[in-house]
Amino acid sequence: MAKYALIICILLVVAFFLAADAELFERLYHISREYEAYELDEVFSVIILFSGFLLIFSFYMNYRLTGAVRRRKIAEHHLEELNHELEDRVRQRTRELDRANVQLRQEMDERARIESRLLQKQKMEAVGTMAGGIAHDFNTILGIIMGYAGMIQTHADGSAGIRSMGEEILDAARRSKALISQLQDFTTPDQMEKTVMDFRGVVRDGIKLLDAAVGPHAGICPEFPGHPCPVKVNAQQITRVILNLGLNAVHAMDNKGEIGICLEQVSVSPITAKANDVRPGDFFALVVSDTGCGISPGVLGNIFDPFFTTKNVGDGSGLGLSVVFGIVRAHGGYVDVTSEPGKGTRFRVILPQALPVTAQNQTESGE
Amino acid sequence: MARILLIEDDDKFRKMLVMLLETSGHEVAEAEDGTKGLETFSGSNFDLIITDIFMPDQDGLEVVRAVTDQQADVKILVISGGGRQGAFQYLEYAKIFGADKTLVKPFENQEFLSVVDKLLTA
Repeated sequence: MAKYALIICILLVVAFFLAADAELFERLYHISREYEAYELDEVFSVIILFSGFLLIFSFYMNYRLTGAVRRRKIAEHHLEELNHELEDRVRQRTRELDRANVQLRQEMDERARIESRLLQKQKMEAVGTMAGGIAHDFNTILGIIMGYAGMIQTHADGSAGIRSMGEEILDAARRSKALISQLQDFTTPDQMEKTVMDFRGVVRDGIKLLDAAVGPHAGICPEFPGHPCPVKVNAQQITRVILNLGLNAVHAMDNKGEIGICLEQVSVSPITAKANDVRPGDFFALVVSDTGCGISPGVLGNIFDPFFTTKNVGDGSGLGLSVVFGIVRAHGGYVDVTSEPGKGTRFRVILPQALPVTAQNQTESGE
Repeated sequence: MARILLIEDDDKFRKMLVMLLETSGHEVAEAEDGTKGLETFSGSNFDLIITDIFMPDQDGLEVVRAVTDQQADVKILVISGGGRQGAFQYLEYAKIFGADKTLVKPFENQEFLSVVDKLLTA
């Protein structure tokens, strides 16, 4: 059976070749004629063997090729999966790097803010130390000047000119006294007595004084929340803050325009709190804004420095904002400032809330 | 007229106050530090002691303590122009130690003489 099957296979192969190439059939015929001395069976046997070999070889090659293709497909599939996995990993890593980058940028910003605050604090401490150091001798010298100026006035013997000169000396000495007093405020403003008060009342009193100081030059637009704003403050010092910021606003607007003064309840996050060296939590912000000339970015970093001023010589001591800074720090708060040259400036004096504002308090509208 | 002991280490300030007090009709003895001031005090009777706080040797607080320890019938006025921290704290201490009144330098003549008069008439 196997022999016949093999013969049939060989015949099929031969037929295939013959059908594929008639010329080859002719040649085989001629060969068979030429070599008729040979037995036809032997020729066929050779052909059969050769065809069998070809068949087996073709099966083997087919098997090898099919296997290679299958393995290649599997490899390609694995490769594709690996590519997807790699892309996923790259995307995930990119997201992680983005997050890390954002965090790093935030940390750098926070560090810059902390360094800036620390530098400011150190400057104030240095000025405070200097002020404390010279205050004793300086005040004694001023005491001598004021004492003799007063005696000159007493002994003027009716000379209005001499009395006037004595008064000029006294005025100069009083200004010096006020200056050294402002400097001394940096040293230990935290020793000032503080009581829990409604921030709205303190600001209203400050606005009255500011209104009187400003006169008709600028309008003041106050806005207060409808609920009490409890803060632990020294009212006199906070009034100084309002006056200093208000008068700066008037100056920035060239004595015309409107000063916005409002109170806001704000929540200070741990990051902001850390950057400003305060405890996170609930605060009240006193916002003093103007539509004046604004502050250029190059100047903004120096505005709280003692004796730094953009005013003409004699127009300002350059201590106003330093005093604001010192007072607010002594109240456990901080000052935030944003400004755009040509559009205006916005100061936010942020003080810690003394007591939680309860629902009952909320209904006790003082407005 | 009252007898006043003035203890102040700054010569010019002391001379100015002496002139001011004498012009107002008071008799003034002066000392340049706490030690000399207490020596002067122990030998005489005074109605009022005016003392600075920050001085070499014995300071003004020691003077106040020494005088009050003696339970002498004398008023004490403490003056200081120290840094706010020092002035505030030490002037408060001076009151605790027995000073009748404190005054921060610099002050105007009227203010000073008014405080002196009030202490002498109290």
